[in-house]
Formats: sequence, C-alpha cells, structure tokens
Amino acid sequence: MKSALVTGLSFLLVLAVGNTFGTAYGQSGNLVTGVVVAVHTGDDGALSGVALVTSEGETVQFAVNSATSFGLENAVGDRWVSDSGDTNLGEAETKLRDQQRRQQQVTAQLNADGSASSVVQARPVSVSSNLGYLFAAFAIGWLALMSYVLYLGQRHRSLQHEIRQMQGSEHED
Amino acid sequence: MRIKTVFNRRALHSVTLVAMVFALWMMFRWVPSDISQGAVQRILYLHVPVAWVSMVAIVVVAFASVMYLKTRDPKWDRRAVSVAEVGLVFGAVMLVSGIVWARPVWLVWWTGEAKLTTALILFFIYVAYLMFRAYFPPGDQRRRIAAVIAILGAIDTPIIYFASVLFQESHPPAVIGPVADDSAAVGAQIGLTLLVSTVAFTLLFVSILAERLGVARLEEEVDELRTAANGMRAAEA
Repeated sequence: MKSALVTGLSFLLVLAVGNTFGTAYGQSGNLVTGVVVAVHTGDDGALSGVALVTSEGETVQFAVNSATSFGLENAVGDRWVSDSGDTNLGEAETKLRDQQRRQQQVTAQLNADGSASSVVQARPVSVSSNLGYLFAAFAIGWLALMSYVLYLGQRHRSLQHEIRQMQGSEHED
Repeated sequence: MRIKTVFNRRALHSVTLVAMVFALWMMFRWVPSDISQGAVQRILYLHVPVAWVSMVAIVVVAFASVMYLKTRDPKWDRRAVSVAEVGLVFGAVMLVSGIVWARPVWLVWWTGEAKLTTALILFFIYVAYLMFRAYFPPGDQRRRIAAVIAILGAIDTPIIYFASVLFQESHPPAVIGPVADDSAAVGAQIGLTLLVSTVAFTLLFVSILAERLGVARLEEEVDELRTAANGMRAAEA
C-alpha cells in the first residue's frame, strides 16, 4: 500500500508540475487553435475580445471587431457565417458564448496588431472518434476499484488466518 | 449479530450490483452521444459521481475525526481511516478520468487552473493523511494529529465546488447545486443518467467501505490478541 501511494504521488507530481504530455497543436504562424474559455465585451457592451487555451495550456487573447469574419457551428452542426466586413457583433458574441459553453475548439487568424481577421470552427468532432479515450477512462477506473476490492479481500483472509493461529496458540498454552 | 451484519452487507452489495448494472446500461445504451464532444462525453457519468464521492468522503473523514477528538473513542479513528482509504481510491479515479477526458476535448492532459489544482490537492490530502498514519508510531498522538490533518483537509471541498464560479476557467461549470449555471443546464436524459450513476457510485462507495470497516474490525481483534499474548508472556516472565 505504501509503495502504491508513493508511485501514485510521483506520477501525479510529474503530471501536474511538468505537464509533459501536451502536444504542439495550438499555434502555427499567425494561426492559433484552442478552446474558447472567455468572451470579452467592451464598455459599450459590444463584443471586443476572445480568449483561447491552446494545446500547450497557454491562454491566448485577441481582439475582434466588425471586420473579423466568423464561421461557427451550433450544437447540431448548422454553420453560421458572418457577413464579410460587416459582422453583427451581437450575433457573434452569442455564437462564441455557445462555443465556450460546449468547450469547442476554434482557429483564429491573427493580425500583427493583435486582432483576429477570422475565427472559424477548428474541426468537426466525429461522435465515435474518441472511443479509445472513453474505453481508457472506464478501464483504468474499474481496474483501480477492482484492484482495491481484491486487496481488501486478501487482507481480510490474511487477518482471519492470523486470528485463527493466535487463538489456536492460546488454547495450546 | 455477526450473521445479521453479513446478511446486511450482502443485501447492500446486491443492491449496489443492480444499481450499477442499470447505471451502466443508461450510460452506454440509453443516453445519446453528445454531438459536440462525441463518445468521450460519457466519461462525465464516471467522473462526476466519483468526484462527488471523494469530496463527500473527506467531509465524512473530518466528521469522524471531530468525533474522535471529542470522545477519544478509537472506533471513530478506525472509521476515519477506513473512509479515507476508500476516498483515496475514488479520488484517484476522479483525477485519471478527468485527465483522460481533457486530452481530446481541451487538447491537453492537464492545465493548472483552480478546479483541477484544488482537486489534485484533495488527492494529496488523502495521501498525506494515510502516509502520516503509515509512518507515525501508533497511539493517541498519531490519532490526534491525523484528525487535525483530516479536518484541515475538508476545507478543500467547498473550494473545489466553488472554483468554477470563482475563477471561471475552462472546466465546465457546476450543473448541480446552489451555484449551478442555468446556461449550462444539461438535458433531461443526461441529467437522469448522471443522477442514476451518482446513486450507483455512492452505493459502490458504501459497499466497499462496509468491507473496509470489516477489515478494520479484524485489525482491532488482532491488536487485542497481540496485546493479550504480550501480557501473558510478561506475566510468565
């Protein structure tokens, strides 16, 4: 039990501190891909900026304005495309908040001044494309629970055996 | 008394088995796949219940610890350590299921945001509590210090729950409880499946805990027999 605790502790420390498993997916030139984590509005209440978290765990913030073009899908896959050069910022804010709520990945093309020229859906998610992760999560979960139950059973038997031995030696005395 | 206990435990295990089979059927057959996240969204039905159980467990450990400090009855200490051990296993499953879910959805295995960090701290609290008990000499002092660790550890539970509201990062907002976000409300089928799986995993926790308490009683019996044997040897000498 002690060695299992130490092993688990070491693994999680490496994972938490090092974040070594992240793969480079997020940024490529002036393109940035990530999950929408915040939608900002200005003092006038109009959409002003977006924050994404990339695959490397970095938060990237950029400004958006009526010149930014959008191509975003809703939950059932209908794509909304903004009018070129005259984006309805209220509609864009609603769509971006929907992306944020559903933790969708978007790709933004950034200008040198820190604003985005376009924000589009990164890639469609296939319903069955991530079955491996589902299997892994449940397999590891059940394996951990079953291993602990087996450990308890073994400990129960060994304690019962020890009690019988001690009681037997008491009678002999 | 012992026959009744065994019978009760068997009845509990049977109810747990039925509930878990029903919950698994709902998770994999009844509830539809989420269109945004795909199949991986079903990890929610494992992750949320085990997270709930591991957070409740540390509160139970703290309660048993308070009772120990109040009464100095070792049975409360045994209860506390039993709940902590099972809570650690559920806490590990919570972390692993969350990590595996995050990779395809967030594109990273882990981020340092508040909800995840406080959940990791909860796991470390369980580890610290059990490691302290494993390495500190047995006795009243060990029980008292362990009780204080558990009580301090329970403070982490409300922080984990409110983290998604206080810090508003990428972790999905709470869908149950006083700070649940209406805009994040889940559909009826997802909500019902989540409820049934939470009940099933809570029953699984209670079932495993019943077995762990059985082991704790045997450990106590062994300690008593050893003490008696040592006393006899000392008297003979």
